[in-house]
Amino acid sequence: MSWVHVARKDFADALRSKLLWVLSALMILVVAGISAIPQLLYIPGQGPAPGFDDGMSFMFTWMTMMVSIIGLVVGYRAIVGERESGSIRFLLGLPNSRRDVVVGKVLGRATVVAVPTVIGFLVGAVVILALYDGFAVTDYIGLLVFALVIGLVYVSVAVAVSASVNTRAKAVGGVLGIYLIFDLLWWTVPMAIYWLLERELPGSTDLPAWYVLVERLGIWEPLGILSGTLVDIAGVETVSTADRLAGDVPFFLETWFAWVIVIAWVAIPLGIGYYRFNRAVMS
Amino acid sequence: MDAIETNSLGRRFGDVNAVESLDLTVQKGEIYGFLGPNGAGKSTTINMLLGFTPPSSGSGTVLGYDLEHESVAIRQSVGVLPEDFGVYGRLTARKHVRFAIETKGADDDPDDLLGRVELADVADRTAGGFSTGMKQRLALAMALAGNPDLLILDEPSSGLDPNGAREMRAIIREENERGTTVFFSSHVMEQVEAICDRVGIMRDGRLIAEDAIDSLKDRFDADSRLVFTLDTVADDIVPALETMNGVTDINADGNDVSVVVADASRKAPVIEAVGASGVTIKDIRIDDSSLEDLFATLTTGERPTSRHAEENAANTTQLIREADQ
Repeated sequence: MSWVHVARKDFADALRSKLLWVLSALMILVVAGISAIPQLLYIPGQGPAPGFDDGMSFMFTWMTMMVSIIGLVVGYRAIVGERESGSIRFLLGLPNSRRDVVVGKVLGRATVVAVPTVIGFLVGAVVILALYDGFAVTDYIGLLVFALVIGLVYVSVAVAVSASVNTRAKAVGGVLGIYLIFDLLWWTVPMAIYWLLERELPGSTDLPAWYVLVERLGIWEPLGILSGTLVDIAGVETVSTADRLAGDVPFFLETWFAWVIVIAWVAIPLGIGYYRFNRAVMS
Repeated sequence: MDAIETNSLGRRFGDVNAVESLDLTVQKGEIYGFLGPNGAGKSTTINMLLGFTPPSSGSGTVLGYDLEHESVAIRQSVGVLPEDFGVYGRLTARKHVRFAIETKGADDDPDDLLGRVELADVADRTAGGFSTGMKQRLALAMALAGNPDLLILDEPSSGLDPNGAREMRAIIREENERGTTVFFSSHVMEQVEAICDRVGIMRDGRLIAEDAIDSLKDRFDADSRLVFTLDTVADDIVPALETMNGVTDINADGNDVSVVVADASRKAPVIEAVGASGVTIKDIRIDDSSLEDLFATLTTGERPTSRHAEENAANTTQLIREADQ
């Protein structure tokens, strides 16, 4: 149970730094600020006034990207930073197993992401209530919960990298590489495979099931699929999987399966990170 | 059950044997000084005891727990002052100690532990601004959490000024009087001479000498060097002394001749023999050496330039011979 103390100390350390307040300011800016834009741009008399859904969908992309980047930034130093500073010798000189350290760090850093997210959503609620009609409490809380899940996934990936390497520079490289390949540029991977097989670019419909599956193995893709079930916001709906596929929807492309992939994105990197950290020689 | 016991413990890094077939025994209640120059394998040994580095060969127990498979249990009952640690710069001294207490599930008062290392008045200051000596004492306060049965201290005096080192020794002695076994490493003989019951000396990954500090001293004091200044060239009397019982080394240089005897009681016969040989003795000096010299010679393996240290070379071979047996 000593991971509790690792997590608590980790969070106390972040509280003492300015980091938590900088992140809170960023989240307020994104949740309260960006969702206000449709209202600010609206000229009375021209078309219908923007409502709650417009504010939400405008903010959604920015908010999710901000949470994922914050997760990576907060997580990448978690363990390797202590290896470089030497404070890991306190952690491991005390009765903490290496698993306690990894688990405690993930939870501590996830809390460091969660607190600014909650603060951002609280301030955001006040602003959105003031600007828009039709505030949907359930949707709003759903989006907050979804943001916390995103934070956990990206923190896990970053802490896993942090556990795997022995210098901060390698952690930066690893996290940046994973973000570029598995997040920003992942959509090109199924496309490239398709081109290699078929010598032509895929269309937007009649896609083979493997294509959509590969697409869904990125970090963001399954989260994006799930966002549709957690929050119901106009404007962020994409073409349904059934419409994109050539045949029936196989089980691994049903929405529930996206949870399996999300959980895998937490468990597999952390498993590898723990394996490597557990074998690392602290000399 | 011994506090620490290792059997042929070894660790390789690539082609380098950092520690080689180490058989170490630390008894309960004693203060054990683990000596050796930097790079001799002291820290690697401690890292293996604490589970930081897995051994490549051999085995060992700390307080009866297997060092490979029961590492968390070891660290639950041991207080650790690690080498080259870094503090959490933004956390206060009290938070550091509280973290150690909570992790061990102990119920110490953080301020009490800080008081024992004389940091009570800076308990609320963040550790980032601490001097090396304060950080070292803070780490010791963390090591004391949970009233450990064994303290493992890696170079506790490193970075401390003589006064700080003396305070550290006083704290170590105090903890030992409370019944805590203390195992600590140092590359300075002076640090251990004053407080250790036993010492082990490491060199190139091997334990080359291990003994109670008193017998180490006895063994060493038994060897003495006599330096005669004569009125003639000294070479002539060398053959007469060479065959004498108890003489281990003779060196003639101009009018000086130095004679090393293995046993202090052989000094008088040697002086008599030189007198009886017909030369006139203008001066006699007797050099008895210190543990510091012994340690320097043992651990560098070179013939040092100082008169004292030179003498130790002979003792070294003898000690190493004994250690190898």
